[in-house]
Amino acid sequence: MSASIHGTSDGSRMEMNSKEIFVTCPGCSGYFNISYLFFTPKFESVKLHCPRCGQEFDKKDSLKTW
Amino acid sequence: MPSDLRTFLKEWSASHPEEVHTIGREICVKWETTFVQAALDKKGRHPILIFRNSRNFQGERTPHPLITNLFASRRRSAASLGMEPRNVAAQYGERVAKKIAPIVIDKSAAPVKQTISKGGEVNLHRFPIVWHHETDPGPYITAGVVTTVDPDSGISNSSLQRCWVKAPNRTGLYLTPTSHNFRNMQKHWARGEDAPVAVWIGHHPAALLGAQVKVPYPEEHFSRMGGLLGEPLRLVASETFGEKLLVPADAEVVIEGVIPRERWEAEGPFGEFPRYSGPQLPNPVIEVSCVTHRKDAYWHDLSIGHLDATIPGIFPTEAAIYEAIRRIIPDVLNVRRAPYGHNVYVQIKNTRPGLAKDVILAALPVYPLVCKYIFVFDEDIDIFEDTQILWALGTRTQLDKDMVVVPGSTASPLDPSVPEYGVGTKGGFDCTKPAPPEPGLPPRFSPNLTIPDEIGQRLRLDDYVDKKKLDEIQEEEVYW
Repeated sequence: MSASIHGTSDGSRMEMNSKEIFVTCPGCSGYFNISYLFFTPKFESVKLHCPRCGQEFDKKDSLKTW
Repeated sequence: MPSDLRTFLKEWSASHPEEVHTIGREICVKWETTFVQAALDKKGRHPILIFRNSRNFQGERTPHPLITNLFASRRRSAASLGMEPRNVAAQYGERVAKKIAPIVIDKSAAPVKQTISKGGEVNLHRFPIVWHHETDPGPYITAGVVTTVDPDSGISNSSLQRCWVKAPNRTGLYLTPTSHNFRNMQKHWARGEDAPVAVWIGHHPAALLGAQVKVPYPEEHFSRMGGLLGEPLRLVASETFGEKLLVPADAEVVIEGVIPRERWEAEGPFGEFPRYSGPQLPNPVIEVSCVTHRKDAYWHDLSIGHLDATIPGIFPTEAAIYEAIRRIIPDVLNVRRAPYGHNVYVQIKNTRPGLAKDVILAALPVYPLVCKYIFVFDEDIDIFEDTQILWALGTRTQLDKDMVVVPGSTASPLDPSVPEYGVGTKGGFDCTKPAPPEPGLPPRFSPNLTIPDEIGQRLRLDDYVDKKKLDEIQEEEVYW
């Protein structure tokens, strides 16, 4: 996959060349891995689900994304 | 009596009572049953486990026994099909090639219709559905065979797929875009319809393994299951879709519902068979309309990430690769797919230069999501002995000429090293000695170490070394 650019929670731009991205739940601060597919137009609006506390959230609300 | 999970358990308990462990002690399905299986894996012991006193992930007692580790032994899994564990590649293909058409029976004769729950009565939490690993988001159906229908032909497709139980009447559904179930779902969606679906759990091991056979599209799997069972699979009309969606009458549990059109939800992360927790993905869901089950239904679980979950994928892969290679290279002797990863070992009689490379190129596309590295070995290498495999890899290869690299290939989304969803680099290693210069001559390669056969026939170890004293020495790793 060639490197691509995605927006992150703090408004910065991040270069991604991995199919896995880590996000941090705004509810419990736990982090988990998600697919880059959530950053593609088809699935951009699909909410993430924290596997630790069950909270659903938009990826823009992730406390830290890497 | 038709073959099902119960007939297999009865037969195996009678012939191998030490391999069926019924556990009455209370246990929670959240992580605790996985701990027991992982501990057994470490000990190299793989009994069938039946937990009769389990609590669900919410701590509530469930009325159904949990059966797991059914496939944890390669030997037992092969025996359930009447096959030898080291010869599945050749035998499996022959059996599934002999299709036996299913029969449809009346609902009144179907054990799986003994209890029927519809609409608001549906409660998946009554079953001991296992929450396997710490990184999983909840309990997962892992031994569920998902059956969908091609709306154009009416022909069904069946395959093991994971389902995250999100609510008493709703699950997530992991579907890879290359799967035939995904194709059926999309065809319904293109017509503006929700896709009918059934998930069936608990049957004879041969039925479950038959659902994993790679077939052309569209072709149903029920005849292949019959081929492995050696008898027609009994089917029955589903409650929700009637004869348009048939389900196995002798299953333990059937979950019916629809995959709502264009609804995508987060699914995972989930600890998968390569022993990593794969990332959360956007996936479809199942809205459950009905659950039918036997009154005292077993809940069957495959312990993903442990040996139990590897065999249902391994046997069909070995058979398909063996058959694909044999069509063009008669000198293939055996195929083994290693558990957990994406390595495939092929044993050949190396008769000419270039043969091993042909094998690699023939095998790679057979199961494109599974075959990542193909290792080709001579007939003197036992491909079921990892020590011999590493010996040949280390002593019969030169990377500049024996390695094949194919970038940009279809690859498993479950392989964490793959940089792009479904696309990665694959290849193979020619671990064979050079082919003999002419038939009857040895290859131009240092000979293996041997002792004359006559010595082994004449001498006995026990005549020279005290057996009792020998047995007292602590066991070490076995080199051949």
